[in-house]
Amino acid sequence: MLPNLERYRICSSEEVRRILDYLEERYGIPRSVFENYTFLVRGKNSIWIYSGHPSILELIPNVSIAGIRALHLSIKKTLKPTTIFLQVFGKYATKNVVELESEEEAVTFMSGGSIARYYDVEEGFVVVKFGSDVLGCGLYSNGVLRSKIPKTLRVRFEWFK
Amino acid sequence: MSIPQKVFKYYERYRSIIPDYDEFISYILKPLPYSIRVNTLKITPEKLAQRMESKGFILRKSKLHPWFFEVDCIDEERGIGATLEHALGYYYAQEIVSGIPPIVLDPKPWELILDMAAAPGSKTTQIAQMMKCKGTIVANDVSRERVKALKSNLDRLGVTNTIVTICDARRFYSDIMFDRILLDAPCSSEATIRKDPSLPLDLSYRLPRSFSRLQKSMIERAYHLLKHDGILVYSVCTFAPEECEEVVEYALKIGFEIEEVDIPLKYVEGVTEWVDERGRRRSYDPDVSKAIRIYPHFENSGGMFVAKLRKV
Ligand SMILES: C[S@@+](CC[C@H](N)C(=O)[O-])C[C@H]1O[C@@H](n2cnc3c(N)ncnc32)[C@H](O)[C@@H]1O
Repeated sequence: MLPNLERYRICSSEEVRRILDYLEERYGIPRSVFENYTFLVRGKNSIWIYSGHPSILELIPNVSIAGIRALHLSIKKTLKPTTIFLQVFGKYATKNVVELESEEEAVTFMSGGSIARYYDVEEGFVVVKFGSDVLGCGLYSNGVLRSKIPKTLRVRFEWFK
Repeated sequence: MSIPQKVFKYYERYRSIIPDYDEFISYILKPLPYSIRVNTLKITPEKLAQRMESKGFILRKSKLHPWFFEVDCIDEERGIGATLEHALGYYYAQEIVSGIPPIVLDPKPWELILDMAAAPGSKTTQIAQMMKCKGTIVANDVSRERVKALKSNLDRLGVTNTIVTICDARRFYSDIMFDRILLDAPCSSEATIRKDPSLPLDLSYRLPRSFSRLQKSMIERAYHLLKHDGILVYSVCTFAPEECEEVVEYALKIGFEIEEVDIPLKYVEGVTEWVDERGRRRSYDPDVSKAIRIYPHFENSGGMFVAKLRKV
């Protein structure tokens, strides 16, 4: 562990390879997108992405946050991309992308609601889009798309009346 | 004393330094227009403006910079943050004058920048845009509560090149020196009265005097953290010369040089002489006139003081 970096650890090249494999295999996001990024591990189960100079991480005392949280390792050891990560990198996804069909669906999803409908995607975490907007992360299973939008980024129904 | 009376009395000490003082006073109690900065990490100003206008907002380009717009909201009560575009991080509600310090700082991609008092991150996120998230920003603040807001703004805007630290900037140490530093210092906030009409105004003017001491020690720390020839932008949202020119004069004493600032908004030079409320004449190093003051009645905005300093 780096002296100044108590909360984070820079991913090993093997870990980076696994992260890039996952993003490419599940979402079709090309590895080249992440050429200038550093992946970090924080705690037991979260992976962060940072585009600053990696060496600075060791030269600043008491780093509290570095970059943004990108992926979360669930108890079942499956990876889940965060909504904030997808809002930046989801535009490169070509697989397991759900396209919502109406503004009403987009508002439902962004306010934390579920949508029951058949989508031609694999079960599990998907990239949810509406038009050119990447809304964030959804969980698709048994014909239901569940919103994984964190509370802080949600919209409210009343706004759209 | 009624609130407006107290407000008028408070600002009276600036009558001799603020041009068109009566006009100034007539603006100080008016609500501030809404304004936004487009997050160019996610969308272009043209696209965002088009989307907002199709929903009924009215956007006017700011003279300051193409990323900034003044906005008339559809619904005053709901304000500017209740939209899908806001949730997706396509814009940040920011006062126009708050956009000035990063523009003066002029950060470049791949540089190393320190934002010493960064929360909630209006300027950090603007700096990240200017750097296209390349290079590194260290965003520091002493307040854990306010750092939460900073983090959620970095998340929402998708800023990936920032390191956040939580400490008293006077005790910020690092093993590396910075190319540029922004010190958007804690201050008496006198110039934010339009945004916050409940701002406590203490007629003993103790606040400007005590903030002045804090600001001087922060600027001194900034000096040691800056590379040779590096730029420090010092900004405060107050009119009090104790927190503005007096701090800049101190910076000149400890080894900074001051540079001219030019922005496409109306401003006046830093004050080199004034008489305070007790009748004491104060004068500062004539070079402090290179700093700029923006008053609310110039452009129907908030107020701001900005100085551009170079470590020599
Ligand atoms: C004017 S506000 C900064 C606004 C911010 N730059 C922005 O644009 O969003 C001043 C900040 O200074 C912080 N502060 C106060 N004393 C401090 C200190 N000694 N060291 C570091 N930060 C301090 C406050 O918590 C506050 O967030």
